[in-house]
Amino acid sequence: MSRERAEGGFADRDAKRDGLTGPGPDERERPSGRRSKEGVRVDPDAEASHPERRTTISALVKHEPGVLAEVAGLVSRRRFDIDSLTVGQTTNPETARMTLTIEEPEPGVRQVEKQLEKLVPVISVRELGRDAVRRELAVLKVHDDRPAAVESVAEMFDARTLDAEPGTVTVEVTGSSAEVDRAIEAFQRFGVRELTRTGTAALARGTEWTTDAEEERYERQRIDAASSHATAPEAPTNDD
Amino acid sequence: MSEPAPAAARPTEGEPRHDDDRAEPSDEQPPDHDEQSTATTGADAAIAALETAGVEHVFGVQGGAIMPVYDALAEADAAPTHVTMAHEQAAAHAADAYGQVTGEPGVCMATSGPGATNLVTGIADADMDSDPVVALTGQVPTEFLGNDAFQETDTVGVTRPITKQNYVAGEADAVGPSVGEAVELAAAGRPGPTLVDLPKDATTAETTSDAGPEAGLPEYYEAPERADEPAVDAAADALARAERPLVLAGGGVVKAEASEELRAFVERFDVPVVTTMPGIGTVPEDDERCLSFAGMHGTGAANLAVSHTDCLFAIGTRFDDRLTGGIETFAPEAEVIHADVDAAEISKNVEADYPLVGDAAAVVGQVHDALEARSDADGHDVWREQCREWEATYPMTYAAPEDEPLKPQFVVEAADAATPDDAIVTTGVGQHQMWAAQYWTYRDPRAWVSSHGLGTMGYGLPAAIGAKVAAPDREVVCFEGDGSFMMTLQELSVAARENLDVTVIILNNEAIGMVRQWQDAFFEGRHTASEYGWMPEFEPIAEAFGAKGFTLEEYDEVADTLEAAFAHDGPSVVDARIDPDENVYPMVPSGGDNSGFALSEGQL
Repeated sequence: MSRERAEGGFADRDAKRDGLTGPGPDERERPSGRRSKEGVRVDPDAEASHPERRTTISALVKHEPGVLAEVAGLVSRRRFDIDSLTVGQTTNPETARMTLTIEEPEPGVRQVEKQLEKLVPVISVRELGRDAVRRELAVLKVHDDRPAAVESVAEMFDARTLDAEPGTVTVEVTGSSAEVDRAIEAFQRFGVRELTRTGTAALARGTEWTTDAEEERYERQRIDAASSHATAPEAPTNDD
Repeated sequence: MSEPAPAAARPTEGEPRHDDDRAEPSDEQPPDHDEQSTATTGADAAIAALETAGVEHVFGVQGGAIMPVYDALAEADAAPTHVTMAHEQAAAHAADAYGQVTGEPGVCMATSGPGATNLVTGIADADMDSDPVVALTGQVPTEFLGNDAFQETDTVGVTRPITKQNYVAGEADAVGPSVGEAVELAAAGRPGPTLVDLPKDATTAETTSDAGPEAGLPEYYEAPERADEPAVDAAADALARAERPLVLAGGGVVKAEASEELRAFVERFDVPVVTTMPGIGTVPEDDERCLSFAGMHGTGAANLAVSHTDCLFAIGTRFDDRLTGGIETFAPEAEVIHADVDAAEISKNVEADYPLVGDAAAVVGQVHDALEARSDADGHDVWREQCREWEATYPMTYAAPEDEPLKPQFVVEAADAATPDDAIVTTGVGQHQMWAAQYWTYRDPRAWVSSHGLGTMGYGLPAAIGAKVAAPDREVVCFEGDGSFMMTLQELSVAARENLDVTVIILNNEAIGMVRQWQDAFFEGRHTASEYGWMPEFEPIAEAFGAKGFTLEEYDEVADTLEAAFAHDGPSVVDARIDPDENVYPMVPSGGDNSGFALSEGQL
């Protein structure tokens, strides 16, 4: 940096006060390129944009206190758009699986994966393919004014009747997110008194492992664990 | 340094201390060390873990729930030296600066409740700047947890978003391993703060893990070393065909000790360099290829180079908005090669055309080797000439007429000239910080110690204390603003008590100057809550704290006053009354285009 002490005596008050010289912003050669809001270099004539997509992320995590809060906090402070998060046990008592359904543009999906991966208790993370097995469960309590009609709708959606009392029938629906949506809509004609619904639980299809670390670590641990642990602890759904 | 004086338990305003009556879960007493040589407590295990990890200094403040750990600290033979700070926030900043200067984790300690929450600002600061910091906090006994006990705060809950990882050592056996892991993890990969919450029953109970457990990284934790070779090759191809290549060196270069590799690279391939603010000193600022730092208050040449480069080799930077300005106009013509040890930084803010995940020193070496194998890697004469021309066109000059008050830039340059080359500069946050960055010539990494990402006013003095403890043989100069200094000036008591030879230079304009500058530029000159109108006298304040005080108003006093302040053996404070109308330029307004930097308010 210059060690000169300028002599002052500039005509303009600002220049005198700040002492910096050189052509102003309008007199400089400026670059003509641009980036999108996501920081992607773009052809100015063809503004690229990433459409949002709905996808499922599976995370294998250590089964320890605070993990759920850590993941939930990450999603909220980084403002990821999340539809559901489920957590529960795996075959290994030392690990739990979290399944997140998110709706993000491509760079957002990659960020969710990488930010999750960075958390110390998270073992392994993967975005599941389109062919993954995904299930949700809903429990609905509908009015029992037309029992036969309720039963036929239940049959149509493979719903199980959990409870039937004068006035209400409680049914359970499982299926893909869209199937559960359709079932709820169908039951709405009877009037749904109350409704509760889980997020998506998902596994990769066939012999494919759901998250990368499982084949080498989780499976080995499962075998070790099977010999030393008789029972698995509760899933960390209320770990705080 | 003197032995820490035995500090009283943290006083609590307006309320009698009663935690000890109700907080003892059992009649368990710390075991007598002479009689039970093998039995140790959780607190002993915590100190043993610090010893094993090689921790030499701890900055902290006493208090009820952490007392067992302090007790163990006093008892242990090879225990770290404790520096008793006046406020926990300062303990965290001192630990942070210690970490910045040494590269080893800085450790801070506080009690539960207010002790822990006072650390929070410092922990957040360390998190934003990826500084290795370990916080040990006392906690109420586990049987009281969740019952809103006296001085209970959910410390791990509060600090979860601002730590790399935190732990509750819920039993004595867990204390040693948790502390050991926390120290190891803080400096591993991308550094950051970790915290171990220590319930009082866990630190007082006996444990057999008395030996200071072998510290280990958490299971599954991996810090990447070398980048994938095909990615390195692709990046080298991009650099080789570039006509206007530019290196952007971030704080990650400092953390990874990659300066040497970077300097060799820059020299061999004759590539111009700009730094980020945390990257200051990675390449000497007086090197002909270094254009100083880019961003909001960076040099004209650095911002023009970033704006016009066709290939940006960015190393260890997270593309903070103060660097990039509006993302749409950041390096808009560049293919971006992004090297970072944290994969999550790749394409977070700026898309990386060539992502290189790995340790900065390793990756720079890999790219160097790959580029060496290409014949067309040299010859950027036109581009180098262009950069030189920009430097000549936009020098960092300033007017200093005799009939106006003292200019801060002159004070910074004079202090630089009066100190050895290996001096360490710490700063608070505000205009003074920018002048200290702009007008001091940094030649080495770990000489510029500042609060970048969080922008914590008051960082300077506690950081100077941490830096001086870390490097007792080096000159430590702290630039502060009057507003920023007021936030942590109680730490002068620590500098005086410990006889730490630090020199605080207050660039005093009797205002929160950066806010006032923005009010002039963007709020039609309404100086709401930014001008004090009245300030205390800093010279007698310094003297009252046991430091040496000076007041500086005239150009012809600058050299002598600074010399006297640096010569004083112990802390000194120079109250430099600077021109209150002086502002920081060049400036890229928030979200603006770097190539459109303003040289004065009229150009904003």
